[in-house]
Amino acid sequence: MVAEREPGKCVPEITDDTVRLALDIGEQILVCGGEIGRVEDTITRVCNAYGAARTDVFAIISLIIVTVTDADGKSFTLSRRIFGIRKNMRRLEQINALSRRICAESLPIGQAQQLLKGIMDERQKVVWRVTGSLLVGFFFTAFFGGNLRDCLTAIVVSGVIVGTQILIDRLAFNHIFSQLVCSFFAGTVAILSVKAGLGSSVDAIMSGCIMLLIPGLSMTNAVENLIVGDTLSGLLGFFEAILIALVLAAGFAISMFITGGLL
Amino acid sequence: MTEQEWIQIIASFAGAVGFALLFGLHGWQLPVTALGSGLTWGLCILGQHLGWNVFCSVFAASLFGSLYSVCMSRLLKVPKTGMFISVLIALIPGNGLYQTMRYVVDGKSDAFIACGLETLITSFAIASGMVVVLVIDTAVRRARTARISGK
Repeated sequence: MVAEREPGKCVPEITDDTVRLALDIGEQILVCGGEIGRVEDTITRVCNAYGAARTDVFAIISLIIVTVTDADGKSFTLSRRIFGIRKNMRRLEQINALSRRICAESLPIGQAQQLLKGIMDERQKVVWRVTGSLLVGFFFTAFFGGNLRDCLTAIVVSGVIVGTQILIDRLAFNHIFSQLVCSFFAGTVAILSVKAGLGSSVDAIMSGCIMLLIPGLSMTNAVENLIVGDTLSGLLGFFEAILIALVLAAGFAISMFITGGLL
Repeated sequence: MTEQEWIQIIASFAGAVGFALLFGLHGWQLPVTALGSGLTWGLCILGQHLGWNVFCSVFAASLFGSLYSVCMSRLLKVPKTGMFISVLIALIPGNGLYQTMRYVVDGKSDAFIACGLETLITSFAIASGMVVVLVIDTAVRRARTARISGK
């Protein structure tokens, strides 16, 4: 059956493209640091906006499966494997706004794909990431009792951390490895700079800079997933967060051994 | 209040801006997040001055911080995750985690257990505060969705 096309108005129709669009949106929400509930909810809403009779979504932090049934009883199933979370709240916010718009205005699929591509092409500005990290390092060292010299040293250490993170992101190593390397470099630089007389308290500098590496977002999401009933994702996220914290400690411990311990 | 406590409040205020930038928050969200973080840590210090133990003061602060971020993210229409973590960041026991690990490396088992336990209690208190607020938030949201779809 071919529905009559009104200019500028979308004909609700479920095709592979529609499901793929919904899956792309869901994937981005998950990768940017959204909760599982939000991913499943958004995919369902987008598919329904394009005329799905029934949408079944299952998402955990490493996989999304969608089966959409259209009004004629025809089913489409697609799945997407997710590798690694790259938190980006700005993109999450934009994608959220896009999905709301799709539901409210039934955007033509081509236009929706283009808008999504536009959002994806907008990269997080490195300058904000670096500024944010340096601010965190500086102020949290003060928070944990460092003096001005410690805080300035912490800027160097957090610079090393964010530099390593950006580099490793480009090389696409896994998250755990990245964490180990970052904490090792941070620990080494912190201890050496104190030995060289730049800072005075390794404890304050390390405590401040450790804040950059703590898996806070994974933990928050894990707790939230557990509470709303996505137990599986909650547990996966929880164990990942604990593993990251342990690797963080290991990285610092290795740097202590190599530099010959603390003063 | 001691000088260090004032420094801590200012640092939690400014440090939260750093985290907010890191997570890609922008515009109005930045000062709102910073204010939330400063107030949250201020509340935690207040609790300690009133003689509350670690769990109670962190729990109260986490309760306030979570409520603040849920309300503000609703108001500013942004996903709440980023704001949540930036507001609660000052409560996170970065120092505890570091000290615990240091005692392991130094081989001080007693200090390791004491410090590790306190870090765990703090984390547990943060999570408990979040849980209370999130449970209420989820219930409110479900009730609202049910009412809309019921019409």
